[in-house]
Amino acid sequence: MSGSLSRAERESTGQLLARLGIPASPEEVAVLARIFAEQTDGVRAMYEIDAAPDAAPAVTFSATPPPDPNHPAVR
Amino acid sequence: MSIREAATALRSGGLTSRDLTAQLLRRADAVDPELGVYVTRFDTAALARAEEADRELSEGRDLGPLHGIPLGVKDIIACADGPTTAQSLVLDPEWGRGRDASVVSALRRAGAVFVGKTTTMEFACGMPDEHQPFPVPRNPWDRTRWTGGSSSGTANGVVAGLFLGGLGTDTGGSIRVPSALCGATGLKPTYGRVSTDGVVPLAHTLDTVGPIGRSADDCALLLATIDPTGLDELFGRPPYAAPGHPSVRGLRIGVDRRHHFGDDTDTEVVEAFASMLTVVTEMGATVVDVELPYFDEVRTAVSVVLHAEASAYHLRDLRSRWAEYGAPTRISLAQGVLLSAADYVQAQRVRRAAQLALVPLFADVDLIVTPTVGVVAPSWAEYASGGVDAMLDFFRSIYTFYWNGTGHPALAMPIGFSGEGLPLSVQAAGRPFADEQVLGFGGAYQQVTDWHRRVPGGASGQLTGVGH
Repeated sequence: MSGSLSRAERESTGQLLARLGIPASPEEVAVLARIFAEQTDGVRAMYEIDAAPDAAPAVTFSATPPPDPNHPAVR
Repeated sequence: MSIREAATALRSGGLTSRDLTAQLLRRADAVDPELGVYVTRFDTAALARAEEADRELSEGRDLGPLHGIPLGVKDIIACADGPTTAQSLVLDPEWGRGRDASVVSALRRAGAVFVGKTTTMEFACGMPDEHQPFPVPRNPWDRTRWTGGSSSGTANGVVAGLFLGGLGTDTGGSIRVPSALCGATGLKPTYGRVSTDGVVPLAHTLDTVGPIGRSADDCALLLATIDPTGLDELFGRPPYAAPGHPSVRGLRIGVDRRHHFGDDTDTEVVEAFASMLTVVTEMGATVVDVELPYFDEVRTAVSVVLHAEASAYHLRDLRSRWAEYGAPTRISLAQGVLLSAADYVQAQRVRRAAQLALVPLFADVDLIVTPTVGVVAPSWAEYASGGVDAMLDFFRSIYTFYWNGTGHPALAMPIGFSGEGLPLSVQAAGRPFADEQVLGFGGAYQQVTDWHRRVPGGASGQLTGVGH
């Protein structure tokens, strides 16, 4: 787990969640900020892979979600 | 009792489906309050269906090896016999009401008896949450330990002898991890092989539906029904007439030691894994060292894709019903909104890059085996009270994510027990749509070992009335 986060980093996470309308508490924002910080190096490392020859993302994995009457898009 | 043994007994007159179902329901009365297997039981419908199966079999109307067999269904999979909750207060109570998921429909046509819906974590993600009004699954080998998730109730119910097999789902390891920690055998099929229609989605480009049973043979019987295109040649159909004869002779089996045996891997896991390799080598397999391409990057990609897709599905409810989600679920689902669209696209590209890099590797080997989980079942109290740190620590010891990222089939099965009497497990992955070969490897190993037949309640003394 990454060390303590700066106030700016926590506020950035909180602002993003607020912009999306997610009513997370300050404690939850802090937890999410820590998880996000832990993921940062891994996410950056993903971009080191040159996947240019395969421009279509995950072509063998259908992007069509299964029919689901409870899906927010169709409710 | 295995599914195959029960199928034989149902046809020899030594057992009726009604008696078998009633016996398993009585066992559930005794032990389920402590084990947390069921969200909902279907006693009346199950007994009626069992009587119907007995009548059909007696009249010579044989629907196959699952006819009259009691099964459990994870409670994110629709089953017309009762509600689907996804173990959440947020899911619309009308979701899936009165209908079967495609996989349940296939099992129903094959004469299966559904005894109930089994526990998971909320929406198959997050952590077990004892503050929500749902049962919390406990490990049948030691009730102070967790089952793993999220197909928790199907795995611990199979091992505790409350039904003979069942359905789970696997998006990052949710069939294989509880199978490993509970001592069951479970298959994540090749992505796209089994329908996810009628299943509450978690992440639609990762989600799979698959079987959990006591053995690879039982999983093969279940898979043959939910995916009726395969498996006939290996295990035969109708399979209760004669078991197949799977073999590992001539197989080349890859072992990736670099990414799976870190300092935090339990010594007992390492020793059991080595013993398993000795067994399969003596049976005629060849073991070679391999290195899985983009291992760390695929692990990250699975996390990115899972959380991004789950967040998109739940975003409207996260905004308006935040407090109705359990606290661990809120944290898990909200992670996705912190990622960018570019992160999601690049994660999908990483998955494809790994798929392509695996093609030459699987030209050299038939299977790749790893521990399923690097540790034994964690203490429930420590896990539940440890918050996000405990969750992340445990996730680091799980070796299932990679195969969700690439889509390959992967089987988890028991290969021993720790000194504390807790199950240890191997994961075997094969080429895309070579699920039969993966199950055949498990079937061959289980013909010469008995780890998968062991039942809780003996030396551990944790449970009474569970031995079977």
